[in-house]
Amino acid sequence: MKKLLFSLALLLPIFSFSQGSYFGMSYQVSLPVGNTADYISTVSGRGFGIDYKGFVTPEVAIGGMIGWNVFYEAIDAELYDIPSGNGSAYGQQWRYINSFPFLLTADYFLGDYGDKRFFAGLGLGAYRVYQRLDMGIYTYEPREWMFGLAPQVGVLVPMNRDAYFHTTLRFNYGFESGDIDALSYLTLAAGFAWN
Amino acid sequence: MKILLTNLFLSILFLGIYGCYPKGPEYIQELDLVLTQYAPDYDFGAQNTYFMPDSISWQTNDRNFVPDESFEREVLKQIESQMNARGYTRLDSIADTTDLQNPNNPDMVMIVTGIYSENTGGGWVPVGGCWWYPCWGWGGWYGGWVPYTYSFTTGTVVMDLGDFREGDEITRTFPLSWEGLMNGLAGSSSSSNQDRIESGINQAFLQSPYLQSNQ
Repeated sequence: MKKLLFSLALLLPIFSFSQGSYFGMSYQVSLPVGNTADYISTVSGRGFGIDYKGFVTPEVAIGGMIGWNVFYEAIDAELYDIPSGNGSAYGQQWRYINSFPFLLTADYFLGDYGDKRFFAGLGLGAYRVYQRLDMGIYTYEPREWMFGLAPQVGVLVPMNRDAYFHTTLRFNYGFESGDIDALSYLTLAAGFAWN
Repeated sequence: MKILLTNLFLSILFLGIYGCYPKGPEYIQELDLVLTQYAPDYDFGAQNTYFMPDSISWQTNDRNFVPDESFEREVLKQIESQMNARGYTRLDSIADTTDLQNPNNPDMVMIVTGIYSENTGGGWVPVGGCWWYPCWGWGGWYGGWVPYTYSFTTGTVVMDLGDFREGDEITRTFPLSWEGLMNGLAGSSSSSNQDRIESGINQAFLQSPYLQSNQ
């Protein structure tokens, strides 16, 4: 997976961003869905991301994003069946997911340079995922690399000649890997960007 | 200016998330865990009597550990009370240790073990510094390392219930039919520790409804 990321990253410089580029940072709120919601159902207010987009044509931008999304839920003491099926465990649980997306992105922009521009695109790459379960004094924490994709829509709003406000709605999906089920969550990102 | 603002915004975001990172449990009793396991083909209903020694067998790495007899009495009393409530009768002794099938012998044996373990250690953790270029603030100070130590004590009480008549007379071992285990961090208050263990014993029986004599 690391080799794939490295190879994809090497592709970036071959594009000429003659149509301009911007670098952005965002605060992110994420809503777990699917398998991820079965493990942690609470909304995450802990997340941030860094984006870079370079325009290869006036409408098409390619780039990359990295981020950090933290999911957490404390679960009151409950009774759980043990895996062998002939016993039970009772106690509180603390569940965590740390997700670090490393994505290459391609987006199609509507509108003209200098105006508010809506865009839609796809991110492709890897998620580094730490999924931790604490129960009693014991911790189980599988760590996996996942291949993932992230369709996204957003809007880029110019604040002045060099700065923008940008917001993105992204669906993150990491394919099942090792001891961790498929990862899926919706992220709403909002922040600032500069040329 | 743009680089400074970028770094500032990024730092606030990163430190904000790091600072708000969830910290998990706040009180030691939240770490209490009760585990039970049973032999699926064992007929608990067909059993009537059991033998349980008057003391707890301790395993510890603390050379200064002294068992608290009143604590042991309370724990054993509570286990006996729970077993009585399930229709089992405690016998004071084993009639014949050479013939396990002797009708005056108990059907089962309950062994209670306490594990008291001190855990200490230490290491070094990095502090300060900055993780990206250009470094802002503190005149380019890149941080250092500080030592840390930890010390905590874990306590476990294990209830092992075995079938006496199926035991091995030579090795004096018995096939386990049920095990209940309470585990957690030991606190400084012995009365609180005892309350937590008693609560754990109640929970162990509560989640084991199959422990019920029909005799």
